[in-house]
Amino acid sequence: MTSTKDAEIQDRIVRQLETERSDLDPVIAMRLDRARHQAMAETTGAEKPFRPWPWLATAGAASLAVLVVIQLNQPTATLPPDTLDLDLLTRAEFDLLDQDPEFMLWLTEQAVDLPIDDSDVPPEGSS
Amino acid sequence: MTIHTLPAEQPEPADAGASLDAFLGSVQQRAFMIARYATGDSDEALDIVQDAMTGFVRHYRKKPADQRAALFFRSLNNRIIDFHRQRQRRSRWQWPWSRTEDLASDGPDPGASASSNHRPAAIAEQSQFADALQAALGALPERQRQVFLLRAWQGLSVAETAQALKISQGSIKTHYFRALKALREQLEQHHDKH
Repeated sequence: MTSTKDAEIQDRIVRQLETERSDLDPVIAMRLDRARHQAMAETTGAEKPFRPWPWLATAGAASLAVLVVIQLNQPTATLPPDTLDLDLLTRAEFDLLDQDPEFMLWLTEQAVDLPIDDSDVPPEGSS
Repeated sequence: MTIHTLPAEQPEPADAGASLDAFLGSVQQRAFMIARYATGDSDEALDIVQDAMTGFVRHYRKKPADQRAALFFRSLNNRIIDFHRQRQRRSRWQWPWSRTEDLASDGPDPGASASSNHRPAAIAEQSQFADALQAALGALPERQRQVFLLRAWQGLSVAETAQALKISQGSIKTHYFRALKALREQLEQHHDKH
């Protein structure tokens, strides 16, 4: 008989809740009505014709600001003075083989100067 | 068990705007009481209901009339969830002393029991039941209370309640069963007197 009891208790609860609802504080009821009217004002507000000018003006100002920021942050084209020699070496016209083949031939014939290992040589005046 | 669908508080006129207004008028008081149970505060509940009505009108006003109840209570439920999230966030960053003040201010709302204060002694038993009901509903977990109030009081179907609370129909049935069981256990002694 739980089901019958459940139905009875549920009826009682619902009746009690309805009593409380109908006894609701008139000030609260009035505030609820006012809130509803404010919400309903959205229906008239939402159907106003779309005016693009404020949006376009805002978008234009934002684009201008972005362009200014980009312009100010452009990297400089001049290189620092210390890199001038390196720059010279990387140029295409700086090619010794083409410009001075004799020098290059001479360079290949030179003995490579290896570092001298003098650890086995006794220091002077030790004998 | 049959779920009673209560009559609307106001008749529904033919005009669309007036129909929407009438619908909101028919649910606003129950929505307020549901929100007050959830927040324990009349002002917070009023704010939540206003936000829910605004959101509902803004997003769902063109929906068919038979979907309005579920969509409105979904809107209300979202605001209640937002309220609890904000309160959690607030309490996380509060100093211990201000947290104590906050808990004190979130206590029983004077407006919540205003009706019981004005009851004559002749209906003391009804008053006792009302107080017991307040306590029993207040003690229910949030979800169970919402399911119970929407199903039993607002008269939403299982599908509508599931849509409003964004949970499965199976969960609605489980929450409803548990809520009713808990309420029966707590209110049986008061109910048996009648």
